[in-house]
Amino acid sequence: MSTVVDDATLLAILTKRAAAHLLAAAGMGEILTTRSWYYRLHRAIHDERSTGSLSRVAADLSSAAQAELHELLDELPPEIVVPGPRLLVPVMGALRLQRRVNYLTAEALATAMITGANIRATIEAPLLSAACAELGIGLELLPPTE
Amino acid sequence: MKATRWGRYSRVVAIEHEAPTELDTAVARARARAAATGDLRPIITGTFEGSVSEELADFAQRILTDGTYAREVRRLGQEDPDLATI
Repeated sequence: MSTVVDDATLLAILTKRAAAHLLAAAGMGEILTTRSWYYRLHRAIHDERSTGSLSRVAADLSSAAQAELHELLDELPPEIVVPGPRLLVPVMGALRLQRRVNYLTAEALATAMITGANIRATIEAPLLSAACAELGIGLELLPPTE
Repeated sequence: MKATRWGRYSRVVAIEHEAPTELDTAVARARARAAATGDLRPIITGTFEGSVSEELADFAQRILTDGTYAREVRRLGQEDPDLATI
């Protein structure tokens, strides 16, 4: 079964720090993510306005490792599937949930519904959990490196 | 996800008729579109074997496990609600 992964899990997969079964699934083209999660990962790493500890840690990387990181994010492996809006938006627009969700969550739900995939996330998200239960979507909440 | 409609029938039986919802229809259309266009298939497989440097792998391990990445995600979500984990 395919899995829709969030940004933290995606980073763990890209840097080969994810669990072996996730890496194997990625190699077989069974890992999907969303544009929102991909964008959030890219922005978290690249955001020059960030004054947080992430930018400080990233700045401590050697120039070679920084270049490697940016290349990983800019050239997502072709095995990772990122569905486009032509496919997702009609489903996102047809969601009639008890509680309204934001774009990021709607995109994840639509991706999972169309593909029959589970969603794997790392951060407790009450609206995502409720929506998954309402729609019958499997949701795994696990640390990104497990 | 299914809407239920009750109908009146000539025989003395009640049949539960489940009409597809707007969401069911949208999902079915999206699946048909994806099957026709290949939009949900990976561009290529079998090239994911490459490795990353230890320095980069250690960096990722650190920010993903010590709360650094989670804090950055919260900050981004406050800045842009459409990127918030809710």
